[in-house]
Amino acid sequence: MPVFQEDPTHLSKSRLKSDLVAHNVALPTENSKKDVYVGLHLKHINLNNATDFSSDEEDQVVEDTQEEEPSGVDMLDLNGLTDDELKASLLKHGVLAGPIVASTRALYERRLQKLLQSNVQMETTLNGTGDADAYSDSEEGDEEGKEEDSVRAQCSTRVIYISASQPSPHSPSSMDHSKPQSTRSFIILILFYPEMVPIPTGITATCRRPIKGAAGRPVQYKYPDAPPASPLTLERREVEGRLVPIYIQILVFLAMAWVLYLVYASMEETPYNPLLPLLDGLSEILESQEEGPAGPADPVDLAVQDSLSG
Amino acid sequence: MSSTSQKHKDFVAEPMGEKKVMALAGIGDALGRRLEEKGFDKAYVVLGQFLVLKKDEELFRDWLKDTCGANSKQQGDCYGCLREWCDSFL
Repeated sequence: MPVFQEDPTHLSKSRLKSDLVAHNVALPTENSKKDVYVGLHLKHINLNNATDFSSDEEDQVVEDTQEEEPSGVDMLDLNGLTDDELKASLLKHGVLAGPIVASTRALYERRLQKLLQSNVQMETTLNGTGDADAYSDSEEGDEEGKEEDSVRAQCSTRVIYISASQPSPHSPSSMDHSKPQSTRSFIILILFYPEMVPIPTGITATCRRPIKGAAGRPVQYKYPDAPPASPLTLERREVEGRLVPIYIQILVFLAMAWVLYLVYASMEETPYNPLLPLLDGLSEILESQEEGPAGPADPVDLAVQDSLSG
Repeated sequence: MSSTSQKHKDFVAEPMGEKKVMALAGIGDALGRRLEEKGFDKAYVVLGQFLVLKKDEELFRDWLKDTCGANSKQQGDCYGCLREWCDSFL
C-alpha cells in the first residue's frame, strides 16, 4: 500500500491530487506547485490516518505493519528504560535479574515484556471475559494511543505510519492488536496505581478452591485448613468441641436413672430407718434409768461412799 | 537429561581449558561457525554468557536461539552440558 509506505514527496502530483480528493480535502488551485499538495497531504491525510481508520485500503496497511507492530510498541516503552530501571521493574515482577549489559539487555527486555503481557492476560481473565480486551479495554488503549500518536505525529511521519495502525477498531485484525494495547494500558495502570503490589508469579488472583463436599469428597477432612465462614461459626465450632456428644449424655442419664431406681427398689425390699437404732438405744437408756434407784447401787456410787467413809 | 551424548560426557569430564565452542554439546559445525562469527569462539566465552545470565535456563536458551538459531534440542543439550560442567568444576 504505497500511500503509507512511501513519503508523500515521492508520489506523483496526480496521485497526491486523487488522494486529497479521496479524503475530502479542498484542492489548491490548479497551478499550485507539488509542495503545496505534499503539505496538504501531510497535514490532512496522515493526521487522519493517525486517528481514524475506516477504509478498506487502510486495513491492508494494518496487515502489512502488523508483524513489527506488537513488539514495536512495547520495545518503544522498554527501550526508554535505563539498565537500572529495567532491572528494577524486573525485580517488581519477582525476577532477580543478573547484570544487564549489552549482551543480556535484549533478553531481559523480552522477559519483562512477557511478564507484562501475562499480567494483562491475567487481569482480563479475572474480569470475567477473556476477550474483553478486544472491546472495552482496548478502547481505552486506543484513546491513550491516540493521544500519544498526535504527539508523535509532530515529530516524524514514520512514527505515524507505525502507530497509526493501532487505533483500528474497524479492522478485522483489531483482535491481534489488543495485546500490546492493553499492555500499554497496563503500564499506565501501574503508573496510576503504584501501590498495586505485583507478586513473583504475576498471578494476582487467589487460587480457586474446589467446593467442599462436592463430587463425593468428605466435607471436613479433605480441607482441614479451610477457613471457617465467620467468627461466629468459629465460636460455635469451639463450643461444640467442648461439649459431650448427645448420645453419651443420654447414656449417662439412663445409667443414673437406673442406679437411682436400684437404690429405691432395694430400700423397698428391706426398709431400713437409720433413726431406729437411735430410738432403740434411747428407750433402753430410759428403761435403765427408771430401774436405777430400785436396783443395786452403781459402782461409782460405791466408790464415792468408800472415799467418804475412809 | 535422560540420555547424554558422548560429546556431553567428554565435555563435562574435564576442565574446558581452551576448548573450542564446537566442543559444547548441541553445538555442531554450523552453529559453532555462527557463534564464532559473533565472537564466541571458545567454550569459555559461551560459559561467560551462561554465567552472566545467572545460569537461567530460559534466558540462556533464548540467547542461544537469537545468537546462532539453535533449535530446542540443541539449546537443551548446550544448557545441560554447561550446567553440569559448572556443577562439577565451578
